[in-house]
Amino acid sequence: MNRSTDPLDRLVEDYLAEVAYAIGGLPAARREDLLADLREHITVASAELDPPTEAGIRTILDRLGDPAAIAEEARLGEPAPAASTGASPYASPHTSPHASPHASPHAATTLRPSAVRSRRSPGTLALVLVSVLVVILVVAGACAATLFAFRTESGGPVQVATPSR
Amino acid sequence: MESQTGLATALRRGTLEFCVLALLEDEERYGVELVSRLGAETALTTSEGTLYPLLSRLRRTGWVATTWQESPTGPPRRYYGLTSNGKAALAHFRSEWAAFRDAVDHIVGTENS
Repeated sequence: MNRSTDPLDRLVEDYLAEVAYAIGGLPAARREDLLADLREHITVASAELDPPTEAGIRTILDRLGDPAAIAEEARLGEPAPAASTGASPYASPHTSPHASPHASPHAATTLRPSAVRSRRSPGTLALVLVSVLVVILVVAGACAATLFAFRTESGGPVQVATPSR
Repeated sequence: MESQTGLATALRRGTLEFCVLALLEDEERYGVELVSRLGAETALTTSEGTLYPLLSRLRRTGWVATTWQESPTGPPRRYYGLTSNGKAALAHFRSEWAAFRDAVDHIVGTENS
């Protein structure tokens, strides 16, 4: 704790500030969670350095990597903005049902069936709609045909009757 | 270049979390240990830091649970362990993966590569 103005701590704080900035769009709980995880990683890893040197700290931070890459990974866990990040070619509507169950606490075994179900339902809905339409068209067609036939049949004598008047 | 990194990202997407579960199958590991094991596999991870959002998701999903344990040498460490849901998820992945890998190998022609 007495190293708070230490240049090594400054390195760490600057790095964490960069991550905090990069994950600005995430919910507060996620941000705090991630920053706490990274801080703990740095604390534990630097305790393993025998004398904590600047080079040692830099290596730890380098291995943690680019704050933007960490932020991108963190955003993938969020259901809503997942499709708008760099992974867009793969974030088709088919992948988003997979992404969202991760956020729910009891998604373990229900993950697959729910994804399959939600993917299948638009298809079956369309099928039902199309078949209903076909039935309506057939019935309407049949009605029209019989009506037409009926009218010409019964209309015949009337037309014949008019000139005789 | 863009599509190559995109491919690596896409391939990791559904598999990396199960590599984490597999590393925790026999023993609990603390974050630094877990992350450096996976970070050493360059095909699996871009950087150690990108694994923490993944670990956070696994905690929220309930596949891993953490406990704080005292360290003999340094600060307390958060140890990750597999839950029974996590064990089931790993078992499920193993059977799915074997069939998936075989099918891809068969179609793509990578059986013997």
